[in-house]
Amino acid sequence: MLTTSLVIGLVLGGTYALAALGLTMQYGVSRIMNLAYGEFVIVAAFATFVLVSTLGLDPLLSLLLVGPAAFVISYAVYSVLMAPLVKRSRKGGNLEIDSILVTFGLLFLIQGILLVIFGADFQSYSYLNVAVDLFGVTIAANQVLAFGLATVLGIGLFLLIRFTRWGLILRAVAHRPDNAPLVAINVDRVAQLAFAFGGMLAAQAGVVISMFQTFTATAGVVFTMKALIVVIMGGVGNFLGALIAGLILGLVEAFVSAYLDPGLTLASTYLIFLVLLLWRPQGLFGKSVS
Amino acid sequence: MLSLSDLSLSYGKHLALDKVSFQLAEGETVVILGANGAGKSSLLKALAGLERYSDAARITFVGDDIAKMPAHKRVDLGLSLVPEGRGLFPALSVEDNLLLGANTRNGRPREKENRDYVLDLFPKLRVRARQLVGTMSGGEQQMVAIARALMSAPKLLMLDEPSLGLAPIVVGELFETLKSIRASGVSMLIVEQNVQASLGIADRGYIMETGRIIGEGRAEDLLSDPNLQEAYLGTSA
Repeated sequence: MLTTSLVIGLVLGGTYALAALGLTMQYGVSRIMNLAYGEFVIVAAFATFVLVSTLGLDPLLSLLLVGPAAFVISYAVYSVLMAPLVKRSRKGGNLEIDSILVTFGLLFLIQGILLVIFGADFQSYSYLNVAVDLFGVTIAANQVLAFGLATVLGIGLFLLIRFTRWGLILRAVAHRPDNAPLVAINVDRVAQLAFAFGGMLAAQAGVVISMFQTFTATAGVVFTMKALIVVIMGGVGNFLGALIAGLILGLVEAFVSAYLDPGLTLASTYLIFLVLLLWRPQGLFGKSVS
Repeated sequence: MLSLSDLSLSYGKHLALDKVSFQLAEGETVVILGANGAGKSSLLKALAGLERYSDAARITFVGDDIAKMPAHKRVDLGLSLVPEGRGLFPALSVEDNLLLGANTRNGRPREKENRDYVLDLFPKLRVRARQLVGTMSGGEQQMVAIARALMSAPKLLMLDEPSLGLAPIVVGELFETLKSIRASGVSMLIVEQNVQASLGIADRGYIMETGRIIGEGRAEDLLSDPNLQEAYLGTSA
C-alpha cells in the first residue's frame, strides 16, 4: 500500500505542480489573482472531451491544439479585463483586489456556460485505460502518461525560466517589478505574456487531468484552490518551489486517502493551507524579501 | 545630447521641480549639487521616466523627443539610471543582475565585451558572480548597480548619490572608477552631496535649491567659489 500511495501521490502531485506553475506565473509575475484559473483547467478538459469524443482525436494531439488556443484566449482576456485594471492601479487602485473581484465574476460566467452546454454530470472519456505494472504497483497507463507529461512540461518550463533570457526577465518582474523598467523591461508587456502563458499551462494541466480523471462543470474551484495552495506553499513566484510543493500536496492526498479516509483528502488540503497561512505565509521555500 | 526645458514636477501641493531647464553635451560629466530636498533625485527620476511631470516639459535625448516615452524605452535608447537605493534585484545573483542590465538594443549585441569591461572595472565582482546581491555590502551593491547600468551600453549614465552611505575609503575608489568611466567616453549626470569629490571628476556643475537651478559653472570655478564653499563644503562629509 505504501508504494501504491507513493505512485498515485506522484501522479496527482505532478498534475498539481503543472497547474500551479500556471497560477504562479499569473499571480507571481502578472500580479493577477485569477480566481477563474481552475475554470481554464476545466474548459481545457471539456474541450479535449469534445475533441476526443466527437472527432476521435488523440488527447495528445488535443494538448497541442488546446494549449496554444488557451494562450491566445488568455492574452485576449488580459487585454479586455485586466489591462484596464492595471492602468487604474497606477492611479491608486488596488490590482490584487480588483482582479479577485473581476475573476470571481469570470469564474461564474465560464461555469454557467459549461453547465448550459454539458450539464452538471461527471464526464470522462476512455484513453489508455489499461493496467500496467510500475514498481510492483498496478496503475492505469493513462496515469503513467499523465505523470510523464506533467514532468516533461514542468521541467521544460523550469529550464526555460532558469536558463533563458526570457526566464530571467520573468524572474526579475516577479521579484521586483518596480525596478524592472531600469533594465529596459516593459513590465506591462511581460505581465500580459506571463498571464497568457499561465493560461496555457492551466489548459495543459486540464488536458492531462482529463486523460485519467472524471470532471464536472463545477470542479474548477477545487483546482483553483489546490493550485493556490501549491503556489503559496512553494512561495509566490518561486517556480521550483511550486514544482516541489505540487508533488508534496499530491503525496499528502494519496496517503490521507489510503491510510485515513478518502473523504478527508480535500480536508487535508485545506488543513495544509491553514497551517501555511498561519505559520509560513511566505511559503516553504519562499525567501522573505527584505 | 540631453536637453530639457520647463520640467516641473509636484507631489500633491509640494512643487519638487519648478521649470527646470539645462543642457548636457556629448562626453560631458555634469554634477548637480544641492541640499537635501532641493529636487535633485526627482530630476533624475523624471529624466528616467519614473515620475510623472508637467505636460509642458520638453526633453530631447540624442535627437529623440523622449518627454512622453515610458521608462523602459529610455533605457533602450541609452539613458541609464543608477537610482538612490540602487534599484537592484537582491534575490538574484550578481551575474543575473548584470545579464538583465544587458537587456537593451545596444547592450545585447555587446554583452560579452561589456561583461569583460565591467568585471575589469570591478574585479571584486568576478569572484562574486554567483552571490545573491542582497547578501552583499552597500559598497559592493553600488558596484553591481553601476556595472549593471554599464551593461546596457549607455550613452548617458545618471547616478543618484552614488557615494551615499559608503565608507570613506570606498568613496575614494568609487570616484576613481567614475573617472575611468568618464575617460571611456560615456557622458554622466551625477547628483551628489560630496561636492569636492564629484566636482573633481566633472566638467560642469549646476546648483539646485527648492526645485530650481540657481547657478551653474565650470567645475574648477565652482570648486574655488567661496559662496559655494560656505554653503556646502562646510556641511558635507
